[in-house]
Amino acid sequence: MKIVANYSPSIELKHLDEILFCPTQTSRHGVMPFEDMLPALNSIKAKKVLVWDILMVQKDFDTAKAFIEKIDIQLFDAIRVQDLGALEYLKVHFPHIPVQFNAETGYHNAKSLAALCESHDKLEKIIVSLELSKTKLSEIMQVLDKYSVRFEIMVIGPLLLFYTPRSLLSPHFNKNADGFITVTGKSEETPHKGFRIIENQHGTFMFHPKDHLLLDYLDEIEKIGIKDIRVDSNDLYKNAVDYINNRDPKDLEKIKTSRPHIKGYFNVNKSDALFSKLKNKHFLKKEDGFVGEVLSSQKESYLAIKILKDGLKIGAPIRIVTPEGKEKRVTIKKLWNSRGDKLQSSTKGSLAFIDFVKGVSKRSFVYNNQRP
Amino acid sequence: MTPELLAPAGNLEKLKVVVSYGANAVYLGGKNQFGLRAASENFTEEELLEAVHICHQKNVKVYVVLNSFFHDKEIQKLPLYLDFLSSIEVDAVIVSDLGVVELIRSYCSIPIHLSTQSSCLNLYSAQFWKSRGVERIVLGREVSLDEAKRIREATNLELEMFVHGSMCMAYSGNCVISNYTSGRDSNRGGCAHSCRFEYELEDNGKKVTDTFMSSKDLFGLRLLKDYQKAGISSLKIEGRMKGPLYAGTITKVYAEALKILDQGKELTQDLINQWEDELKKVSHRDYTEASLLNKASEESIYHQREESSREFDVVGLVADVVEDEFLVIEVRKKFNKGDRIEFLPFRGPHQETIIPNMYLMDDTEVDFTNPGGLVKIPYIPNIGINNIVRKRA
Ligand code: SF4
Repeated sequence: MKIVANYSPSIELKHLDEILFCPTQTSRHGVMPFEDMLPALNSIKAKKVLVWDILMVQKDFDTAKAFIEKIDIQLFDAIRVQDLGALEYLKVHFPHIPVQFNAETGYHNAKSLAALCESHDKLEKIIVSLELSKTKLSEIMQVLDKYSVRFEIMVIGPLLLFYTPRSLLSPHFNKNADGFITVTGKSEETPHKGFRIIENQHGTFMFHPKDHLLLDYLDEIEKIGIKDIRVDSNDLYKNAVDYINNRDPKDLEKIKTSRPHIKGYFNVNKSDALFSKLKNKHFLKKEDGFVGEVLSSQKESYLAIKILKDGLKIGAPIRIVTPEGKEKRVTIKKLWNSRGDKLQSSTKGSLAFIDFVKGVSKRSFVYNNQRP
Repeated sequence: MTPELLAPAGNLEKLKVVVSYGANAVYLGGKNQFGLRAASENFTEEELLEAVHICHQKNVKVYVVLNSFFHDKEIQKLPLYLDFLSSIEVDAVIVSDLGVVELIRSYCSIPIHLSTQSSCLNLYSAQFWKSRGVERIVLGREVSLDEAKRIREATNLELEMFVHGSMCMAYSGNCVISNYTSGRDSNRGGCAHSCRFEYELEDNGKKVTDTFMSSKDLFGLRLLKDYQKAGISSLKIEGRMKGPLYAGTITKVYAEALKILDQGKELTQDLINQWEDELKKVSHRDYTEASLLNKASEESIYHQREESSREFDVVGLVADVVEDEFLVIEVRKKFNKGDRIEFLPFRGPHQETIIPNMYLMDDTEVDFTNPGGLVKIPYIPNIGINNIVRKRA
């Protein structure tokens, strides 16, 4: 497995295969301008990657583009992007430079990742989403096996929850000398406490209170077919690298006890469970014979039905399904309109009245059949 | 070219309301896992068929949202649904996932609009999507009108931009707060609106309590001419989850304004003031032009919890009209005999009336209404079924 880590002046290069350079000019979490990285860029022999992961409206794109065009791009072995515009730009203007694509936000199916693989013949790596479970990752990797693209996953590091270009903290706090504001946040509306929130020149970022930690699953990750692992934690990277190389449980324990952590969705992702429940609530109207909706239900008096589709007929059996899912079956004995005129049948678009049916409330649906 | 007005249709009732109030196109979601508004009622296949029928009769386009971040199991189900959408001749699908774009392009000929969820922000990104067969791009809300104009000129793509409504504070598709704090996938319809929460922020002992990540609502009315000059094809109103009063009022105001632009006339300050008065009558947060002219500043943050300001409440919808005799109102909120209420006709100014008398459907006279019931009030000309009835809050 290849280990990928962020550059910092105190980094120990031993065991690291790929170093990410995150200059403030192009990287959302960069803390050092490109100029200050030059000595390291000239001396480090490991693979060097320029991180250009900000999202950019056109004005910001122009600024980033001017920066890319100004620097000696040959200092880098590859460029890592998240904005598809950056990918397209590099393909057009620097067609020979290997590109890595950060697909951590979205790209949750094999088809979209395959489309990325095919989007640029210099695409050398895709960084996969942490929202994909190991089962899904495994299925996806099998499909993508035919591409020569490598895949990377973050095995330790902060979990980015939110990214906006707006400056959300500066109304309340002062920037430090480097132009950063870092605060912690909590809300009574969520049980989670200690969100780390950072504002810098590229916007405001919120992180999960706990680190994302997949060091327990290195063998599974390798088996899935992900060959590159990212150690994104600046202060714990050394312990993490030691653990990756020695697999000494004591190293892992040190990491685990030094900060709270989660494994996220690696084992299973059920974050659409509630979503399915919400959807199912409304499947009622799907059946045949839909007539309309009860607009008003007046006890001992009437049901007013807005006829949206099929009409109602005297003598016809109907089925009414309440919002709670209870069913009532009745036969229409009386049918009348707003003026009180007796009707034999009602037409689409009209408001029709039938006798009150106990237990039927507003927003119940009416069907012109007795099925199912 | 005057841009089309694209209105939200959370369900069939709201669709009828926005079509009646002047939308040129609607966007809506099916009852499936393909869209982003899980809590919105959405459309069964039958209702979708009905929706297309209603809309096409009135020359209104129907765009179906398939803009969640698809997982493989949803991708597998998609072709069947595309067959259905093709058969009922929807006008386009709104998509955010690259894999879904590829699938649709190779599977059928329904035009593809790229969802704002993809955060397409610059012209190289637009070029990327154009090369994938996308016909229209809904630009990210962070893009200014000047930038949109550049993208339009460089790509000749149809562009759609938001013009009014609630705004996601994050770059769309780049917020997973709900995923990790509520177990709900915000990119598959489960957003818990954590950005609207009040947070206590702390730095070195300094504590601040604020809804610091809540955005004011977008308000593009004053900039309609600029949208037009930028070559924007479609102006989108946010709000599939909102009620009919909201959807109807916003649609009516923007439809009237666009009509004036279409006639080559100026949007005078007087007219804008009148429309702004109308817009204040629906539930909304404070308004902002966000990034339409310059990058959204501190001014665009809404420093209040969810409480929305509104001047009017919707008290009912017209359920039936018996010409020269009476109107039937489906009561949503209590009102009394003698109250001053307003009707919002589909065209032209609102009509005010003081209710002289009211009757139940059996002609019993009443002094007040009960929500959920129906009442008859004397006939007023030019009022139609589904007209909104409102009262000062
Ligand atoms: S929580 Fe707010 S910022 Fe995040 S996805 Fe939902 S609306 Fe957007």
